[in-house]
Amino acid sequence: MKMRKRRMEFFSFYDHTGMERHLEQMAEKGWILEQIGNLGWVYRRESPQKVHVTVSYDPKWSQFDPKIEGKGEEKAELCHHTGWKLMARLSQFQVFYNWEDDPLPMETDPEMEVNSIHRTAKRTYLPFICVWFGIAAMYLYLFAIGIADDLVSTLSDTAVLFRGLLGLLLLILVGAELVGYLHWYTKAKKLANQGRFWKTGGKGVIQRTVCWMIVVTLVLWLTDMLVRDNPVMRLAAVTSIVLILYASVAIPQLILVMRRKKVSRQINETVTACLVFLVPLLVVGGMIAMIVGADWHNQDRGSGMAQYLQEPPLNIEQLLAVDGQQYTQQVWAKESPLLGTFKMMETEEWELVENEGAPELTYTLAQLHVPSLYRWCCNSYLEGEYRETDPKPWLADAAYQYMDGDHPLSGYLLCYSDRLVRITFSWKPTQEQMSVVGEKLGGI
Amino acid sequence: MARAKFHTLSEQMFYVLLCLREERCGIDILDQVPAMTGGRVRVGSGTLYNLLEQFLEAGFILETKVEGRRRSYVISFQGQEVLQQEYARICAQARDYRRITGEEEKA
Repeated sequence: MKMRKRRMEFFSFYDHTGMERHLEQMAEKGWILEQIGNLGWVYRRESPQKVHVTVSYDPKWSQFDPKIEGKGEEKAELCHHTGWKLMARLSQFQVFYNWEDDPLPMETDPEMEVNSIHRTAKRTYLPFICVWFGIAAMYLYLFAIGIADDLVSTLSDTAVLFRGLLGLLLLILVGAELVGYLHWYTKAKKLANQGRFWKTGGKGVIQRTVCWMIVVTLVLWLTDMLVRDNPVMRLAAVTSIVLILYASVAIPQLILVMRRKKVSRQINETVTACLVFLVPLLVVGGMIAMIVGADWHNQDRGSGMAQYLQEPPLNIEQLLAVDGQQYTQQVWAKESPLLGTFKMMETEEWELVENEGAPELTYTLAQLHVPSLYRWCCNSYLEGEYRETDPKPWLADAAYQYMDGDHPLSGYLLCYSDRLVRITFSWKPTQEQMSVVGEKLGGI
Repeated sequence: MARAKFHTLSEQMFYVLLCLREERCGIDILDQVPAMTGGRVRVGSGTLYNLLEQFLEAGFILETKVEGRRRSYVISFQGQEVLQQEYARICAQARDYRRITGEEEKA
């Protein structure tokens, strides 16, 4: 028979009555709380019993304290005298059990209780929430900047999409917590002034759902990076996994081990702070050194649009009678479930100075996987100075020519059924060259 | 309406300060308050812990000794003044009540 079990519990910081009710129900089913940690709450099996549970907050307690000392000892002693036994603690948050039928509650003054929770929140919870709010806002801001700057490129970058989604989910989670806390504080304080306690009954549905969505997003993101044929992405994924495990498992475990070894609070805090900053710095530094050492950064051509990465759909030799050996092709591809982009820039070899002024070709092919994005992407491309031109020579549905005031340039936006092509020539293309472009890039 | 901090004392605050006219540890206070009030007023351990913390911070009580897990306290001069003011306020309320309800004349 399983004697211990670990559960991920999702409660808001202030929802002590929700936690108390949950722990009392668990005790009735025969599970008593033994430990609270970052990786869930650990329960041990006992006979089903009726208990009373109180979740208490104290801003002076710390998870770095080797034992309950000083004033903390006094609190434990006072609670023990009235039948309340300290069962588990995490940081400034303690759980007491009482097996008496009708015990004297630990908290008999609602104002004191609200003040105690609020003082604790101001010390740890609210700064923590604000930091995450900042991170979420930064993620979303970067995503919005990307959308405004280059919509097509942003939507074709899986990493950017995941980052945007993660930012949004974090913002929902943190926002729900913050709004929930403010609502709790206002209402609990109002009732406390009337001498009444407020029993919160949150089931943490939003928090639970969003937390799991964040986990799924992270897993999908890392899996996507791992399965791509790109050593830089794979290494970044492995590094991320190592750092996530380090932060969520190794660091809390280290704090616990030092606490058990009776290492002083100051030493525990200092060692933890150093490791929290140094190890990620070393790991990321090592990753960069490996990428540079193996020259992966120069070989990196992105991933996705594999068929084009193997062989670009159009090169300058197919348009002009030039020696392709004297040209350098720079290619880059990105592909997300929404769309894929393939960029190519074909220029003369830089050593061949005698060829200065030789023709050059640059194009970006955006392959849309979601048809509803077509108009949006097309409009974002047309934000520059374009004028409509005859699409027939390009075998396109629509064509636009880039303008410099009234002066037409050799840059075009070509619209095909499921793709958009932005192409720039260093010469004025002929009708024949236009139809070659249409055949090669239009997917016709 | 919200009570300004310690401007007036709650019943629990009043009895905790009253208990500490003599040096006592927290456990003694937990037992003494119900004894003083015939069980009418009881102070929870979490509430008492927070009260003692806040009274210490405000200078209403002094920590006199630490014996293992037990800490003893006694009321300070400032705390005594606050207690006295609260007593005067309660007396004034009682006087007003008697005057308005006519109980004073009956007595």
